[in-house]
Amino acid sequence: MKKISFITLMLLAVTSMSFAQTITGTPHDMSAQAWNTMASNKLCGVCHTPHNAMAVSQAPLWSHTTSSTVYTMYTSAQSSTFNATPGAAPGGNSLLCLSCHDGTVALNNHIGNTLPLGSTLGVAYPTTTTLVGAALTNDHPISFTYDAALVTADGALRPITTAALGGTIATKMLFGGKMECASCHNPHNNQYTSFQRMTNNASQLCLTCHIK
Amino acid sequence: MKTYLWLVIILFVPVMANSQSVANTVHNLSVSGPGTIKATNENEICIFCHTSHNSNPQSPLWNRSDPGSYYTLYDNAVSSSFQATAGQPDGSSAMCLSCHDGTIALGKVLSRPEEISFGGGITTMPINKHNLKTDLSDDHPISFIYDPALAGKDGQLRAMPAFPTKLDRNSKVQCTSCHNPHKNNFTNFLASSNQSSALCITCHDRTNWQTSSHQTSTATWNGTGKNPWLHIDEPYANVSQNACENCHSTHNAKGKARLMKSQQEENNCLDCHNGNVANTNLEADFVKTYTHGVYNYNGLHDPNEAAIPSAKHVECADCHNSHSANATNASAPYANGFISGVKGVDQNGIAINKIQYEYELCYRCHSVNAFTTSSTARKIEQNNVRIEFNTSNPSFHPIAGVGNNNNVPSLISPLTTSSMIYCTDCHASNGTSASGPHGSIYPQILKYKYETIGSPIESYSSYELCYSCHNRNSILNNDSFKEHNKHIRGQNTSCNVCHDPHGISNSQGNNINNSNLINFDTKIVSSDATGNLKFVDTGNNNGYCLIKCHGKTHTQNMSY
Ligand code: HEC
Ligand code: HEC
Ligand code: HEC
Ligand code: HEC
Repeated sequence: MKKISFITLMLLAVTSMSFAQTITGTPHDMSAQAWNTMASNKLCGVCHTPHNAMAVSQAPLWSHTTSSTVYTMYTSAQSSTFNATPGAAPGGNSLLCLSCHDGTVALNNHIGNTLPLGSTLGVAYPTTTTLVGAALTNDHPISFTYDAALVTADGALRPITTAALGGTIATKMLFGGKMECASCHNPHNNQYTSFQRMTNNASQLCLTCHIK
Repeated sequence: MKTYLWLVIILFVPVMANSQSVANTVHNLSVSGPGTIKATNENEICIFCHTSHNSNPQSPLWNRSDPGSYYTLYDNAVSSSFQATAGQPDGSSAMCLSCHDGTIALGKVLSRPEEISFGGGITTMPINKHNLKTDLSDDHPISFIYDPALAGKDGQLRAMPAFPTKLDRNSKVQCTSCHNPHKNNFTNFLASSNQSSALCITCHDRTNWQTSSHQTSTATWNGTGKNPWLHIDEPYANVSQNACENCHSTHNAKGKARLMKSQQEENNCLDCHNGNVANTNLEADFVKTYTHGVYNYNGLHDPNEAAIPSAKHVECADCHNSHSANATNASAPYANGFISGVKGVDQNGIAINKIQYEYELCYRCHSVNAFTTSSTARKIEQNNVRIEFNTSNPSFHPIAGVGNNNNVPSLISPLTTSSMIYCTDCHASNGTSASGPHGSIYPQILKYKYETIGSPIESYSSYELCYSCHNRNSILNNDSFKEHNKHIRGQNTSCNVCHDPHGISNSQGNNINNSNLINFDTKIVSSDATGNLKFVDTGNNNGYCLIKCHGKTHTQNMSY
């Protein structure tokens, strides 16, 4: 619970925090959008709320209404060389990203502003290449456990104890032991474009995990 | 920022130092790539094939367009012995071909709105051996189902491939069955070393291959003449190591059917069997006057053809099974290792898949379909050699069974009347060469001189063929036929005038007139005034002839 209260504190002191500096001006800075009619907390509020946050796992004080759509996952049915076993649906922080990026929930549908898509004021996610959609079969697999057993099965993955982002793959890139959108993305920092968590120069991001 | 820099260094270093990384291979098309074909600015490596989103086809997150289905396939029309069902490339093969068929620009990836630019103005893969083009009929077949049923049909495949060769999820052979596009530890991105064809034999299981000379020989190329391994990217030093690749090319094969390295069938063999790799120079034999003319036929040989061929032709592979041949010796009538594992026809005229006796191989072409005819016109004509050697004939050379005449005083030890001989004891290359009938300066591909025309002056060399088994002194001393000397030396008569060296069929001849291989050359011997043209056997070393020869009539009064 310590973390939650820390976040709460931060969210309260929003603009002075470093997240604000990095997120400002990125595609995730929706504060200047016409549809963003929030009185305060315009920057973080689309995604986070200090109060009455939703009960979504791995969701730090989550605000944006989650999606109830049915996803198709990247499984071994597509790829015989894929060894992991993703859950039937995305979990963890992936659900948070997909609450906007699957395109089924209005951008401005969040706590204090429940505007379903289809309602007059509900703003649809733009139809660009950044619209991931509900078919996740053409996206890097997510929501599966990445552990020593998977490393053995795959034969070309680095152990999760490998150094990454100042910690290890396990501590910095996995969530509850699982691969999620945030394994590769930091929604708050667009320094490396596409909200990547590190530079992908020479495919370093990919080669952090893959021995190829 | 500082920490990030350190991280970049820490992450980057092990990646680059790892010899197994795609980063160190020519598949790294980014600016950091080690090859000559690479992007001018793009620094991501995976991106040329993979994207993290919006891939198509979806696995494994493919970042390039599907090249389509317009390939010329390696199929049953290319090779009659291809048993699988050929299909347009699919699965990972289609992905490899999205660069390797040379139709799609290397830098054209789905996740970049602009084509990634390449150095030297390169767009599609340059025309070289790595560009397989859309004609795949000269490449190892792909995208076909490999299952135990196929293995059963083929007869020379393992039921399932062995590690490291793998099939895709549809049980298909794909490029990735043999290649690992990320690691180039064994050249050409092979999944394992192909030394001694280790990779090929994870699927191909040729009968007797493991003991065949092409698998065991440590012979090397002596550096003279044409390099027999020019078609191999990185040839090993000896025959055993190059194994299948001595003759086959997995890609860009000049002889499409069965992916032979050379389009001229015989050159697949003769490039090594010219004294430069194998000791014996067969090339020298095949340019002699009388040969099994392998140079005269091309594209006619088919390993699937019946044991009794329908069209006249001759290729090395008609008599040799290169997957089975070895240097094992044998004695007559058994087939030696050089012709092990070949088809034939047995003494009863039945087609067989694997000969036991040497003569069975010769009968493929020289029995029922008699592709060659007898060179001497004789009283009794017979072009089916199998019939001539029938062991119930009145007389015959002991090819298919021990002879029936136990009075042959001229035989040179160790030969006795119970010995058997090979066709190749008479029909073989002359001079010091291989034991087979490849080519000779003497007609009928005879091993030694055998004068048959005109009135030859007798000498050892005139009839060396006969004299190498039948002691010349014994013959000229008249040990058997009392008039041998008189005929052979006195009248300059060739052995061939009275004797038919193969044998006389029991359905055409008989024990009285055709014992001792007697069957007259009708160019020289003719009928007497009463129309008789025959020899009459009246017991051991006794008989008479009723003939006219060089104007002289032979009568019963001239009995001996
Ligand atoms: C576009 C949606 C979005 C916006 C806008 C956003 N966040 Fe987040 N935030 C997320 C998601 C998704 C996660 C969970 C995934 C993760 O940990 O990266 C998260 C996690 C966090 C966390 C906990 C994890 C960590 O990295 O420490 C904090 C704290 C946080 N956000 C603070 C902020 C603040 C402060 C702002 C405003 C300046 C903000 N966020 C704006 C989506 C957003
Ligand atoms: C509140 C809605 C929302 C949430 C939640 C959200 N995003 Fe976004 N994201 C957007 C919008 C809006 C854009 C800009 C779309 C456009 O213009 O194409 C965007 C753009 C992006 C981009 C493209 C950035 C670029 O440089 O073009 C990436 C990458 C991205 N988001 C990743 C994520 C990830 C990963 C998560 C979860 C960790 C996430 N987003 C959560 C709304 C959201
Ligand atoms: C394995 C790492 C990885 C994971 C996991 C991952 N992404 Fe990405 N994503 C990337 C990379 C790398 C890019 C940049 C691609 C490029 O530049 O071509 C990217 C790009 C994007 C973009 C921008 C696409 C565009 O065309 O500009 C969006 C949106 C996005 N990711 C969302 C997500 C969401 C949502 C998830 C979870 C469902 C997710 N990503 C999971 C690595 C990942
Ligand atoms: C945080 C670790 C991580 C990162 C970073 C990462 N991956 Fe992965 N990736 C995995 C794991 C784990 C799997 C599942 C492997 C398995 O099931 O065998 C996977 C699977 C894949 C697959 C599917 C393999 C298959 O057999 O179907 C592809 C393709 C792939 N990753 C490409 C990439 C690319 C390209 C990048 C960089 C943009 C990347 N990955 C970054 C961890 C990662």
